[in-house]
Amino acid sequence: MVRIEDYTPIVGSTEIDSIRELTEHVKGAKVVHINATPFGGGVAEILNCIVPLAKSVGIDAIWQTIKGETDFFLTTKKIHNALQGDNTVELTEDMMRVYLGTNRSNASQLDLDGEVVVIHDPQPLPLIEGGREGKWVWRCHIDTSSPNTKVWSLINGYIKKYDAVIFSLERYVPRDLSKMRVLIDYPTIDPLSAKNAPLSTGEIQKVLDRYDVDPDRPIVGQVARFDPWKNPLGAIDVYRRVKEKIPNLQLLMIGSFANDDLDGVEWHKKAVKYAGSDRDVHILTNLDGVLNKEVNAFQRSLSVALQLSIREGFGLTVTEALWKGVPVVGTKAGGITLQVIDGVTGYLVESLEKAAESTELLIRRPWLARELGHAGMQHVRLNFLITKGLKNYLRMHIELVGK
Amino acid sequence: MKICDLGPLVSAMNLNDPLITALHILGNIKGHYRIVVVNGGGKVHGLIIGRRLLEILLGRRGSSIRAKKGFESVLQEPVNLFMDESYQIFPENTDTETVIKYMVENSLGYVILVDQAGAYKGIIEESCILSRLRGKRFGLRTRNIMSKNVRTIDPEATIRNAAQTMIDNMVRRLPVTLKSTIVGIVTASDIIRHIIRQEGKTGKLGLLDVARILDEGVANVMSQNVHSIQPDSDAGEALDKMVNLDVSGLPVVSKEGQLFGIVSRVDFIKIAKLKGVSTIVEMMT
Repeated sequence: MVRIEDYTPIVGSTEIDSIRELTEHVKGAKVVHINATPFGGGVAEILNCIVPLAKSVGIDAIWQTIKGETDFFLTTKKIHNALQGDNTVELTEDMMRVYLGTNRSNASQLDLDGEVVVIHDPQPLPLIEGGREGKWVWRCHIDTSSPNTKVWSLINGYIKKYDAVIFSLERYVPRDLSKMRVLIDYPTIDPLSAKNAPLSTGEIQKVLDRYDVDPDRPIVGQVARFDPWKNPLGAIDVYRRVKEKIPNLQLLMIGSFANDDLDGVEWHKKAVKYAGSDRDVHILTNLDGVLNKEVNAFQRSLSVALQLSIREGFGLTVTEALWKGVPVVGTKAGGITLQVIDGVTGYLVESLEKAAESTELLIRRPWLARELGHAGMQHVRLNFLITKGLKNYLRMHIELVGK
Repeated sequence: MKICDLGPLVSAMNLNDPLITALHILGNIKGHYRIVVVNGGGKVHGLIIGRRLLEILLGRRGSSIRAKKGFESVLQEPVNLFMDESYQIFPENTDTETVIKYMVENSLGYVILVDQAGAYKGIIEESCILSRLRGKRFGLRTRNIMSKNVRTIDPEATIRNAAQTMIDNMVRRLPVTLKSTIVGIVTASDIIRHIIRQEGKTGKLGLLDVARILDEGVANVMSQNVHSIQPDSDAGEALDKMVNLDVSGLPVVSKEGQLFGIVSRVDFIKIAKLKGVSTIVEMMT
């Protein structure tokens, strides 16, 4: 079981003391988290880490996921895309009926009896309709800076019923919510989780062997859901451009099929088809047994991590790669620009051509990649570790139910 | 040039200091809007800004503790409970161009510097950068960098209205206008200073005092001597004026007195975007 003291060697004892002081004001508070999937994607990743850690400091935190049929998740994926700015999305009355009906039936089956109830992302947003006790918070993990206005107008009435809203970046806060209690919380990573904890070279080697990835040849990779916003086909294009110059290059594309992401199967198929018969492209998912430890090992084996997202919430996979000392070539989307300091922790690029150039440069100059990787690890240590996330989490509870 | 060579501001408060200390600092030291919060060992723990303090004074933050213990207790609670985590922490020896590029890329008005051991070494704010650009001209008009959608407030409005408008719109200053003519300007610091003065008179700051002050007219707190800049002035003149007058923003006003927009210190970012970060850094050295 995780203990807050275990983080002392990484963040120092004063940080732990500060967490303990904050805890005193909210000890014993029952906090209910609800999202759409127990695995796959950044939200599940965050909850997997923060819930046990919150419990370890005396918060009575529980985490539940909503259940739904295919048509529900197809609808919520459309809402997700619309909030990220896809203006082609239209929600029909039937879709809204499914969305609201599924939430209504979940409301009767979930434990919503928390002093604080934190609802993550749009899928369970209407749960607040079913009558409530305690303080309700909507935690939005996506970039809602320019949402599809039609879809936004259908759901913002639910958001305004909440006691507070949390966004990952200030610029994601839609203007019509400005009168609400708005909190900003950058996502963070847990350095002791299976996804990020140190691994021996032997453990890394075993994982590479198991999936027939050659440890003696350079590897680039993108860890992300199979989703058009993450631009998986762009990652393959970049690999192909670099491979023309460095023929022994390998590409790893790692994703997972989350319950709420039905497009994932389709985009995985598209990526596999697009990669063709190239044996140096490894497209792997949780269905291939690639779980947290395997992702950890693969990230540690990369010469360069790619994050070529078109839109991005924060990009925790960038944080993960940097923490492992791997430089990142990323687009200027969402929170990537906060993490990839151009020329210091990796390279920010505006085209696939530039991404290929930067990737090639880092493979050819391992000393440069090492320097950038080292700076990346330091940047994450100073700014994006979970102890900061936990302090923000505790302050949010102090704000709502503090003693 | 290293970023620490820009002369960071080094003031800070301790995370166990009462919240009212933050009000004193922002109310009494001109030009302060952000306070870095450190522990006894000098390690950075967070940041508290003027807008957050206004939210607390208005009861929009800290409401749970306020409901349970009362307003005066809120002011005596450690600032640690109310501050924000700081996410823009850089080693002090980072190259200036790198940091400014990062600020520009992410539209940030500040970064915090630490030494190798993680101890606080200062905060680089817009003012540190602007003072290095003093006297420079960019070949850009002020209208090219100003914000056009200016929130204004009526002189008949209360201080509470002004504070709420600032919070809702995430701004720290409001021109006070009467029939489209500027008659004053009010900032978050003006409001905090006005409230802290009351404490000086009575020796303590109670909820009733704050409520009474918030219900006063905004004219009681605004600066009437409004400095402005014309839209076609070089953006460098606007930056110079802000540095020389030690103000964080200027209304952009036509010769006829019409309000065009507002320019603030953080708009150096727009200049850097238009001219290129390397050019700006070169001009700073």
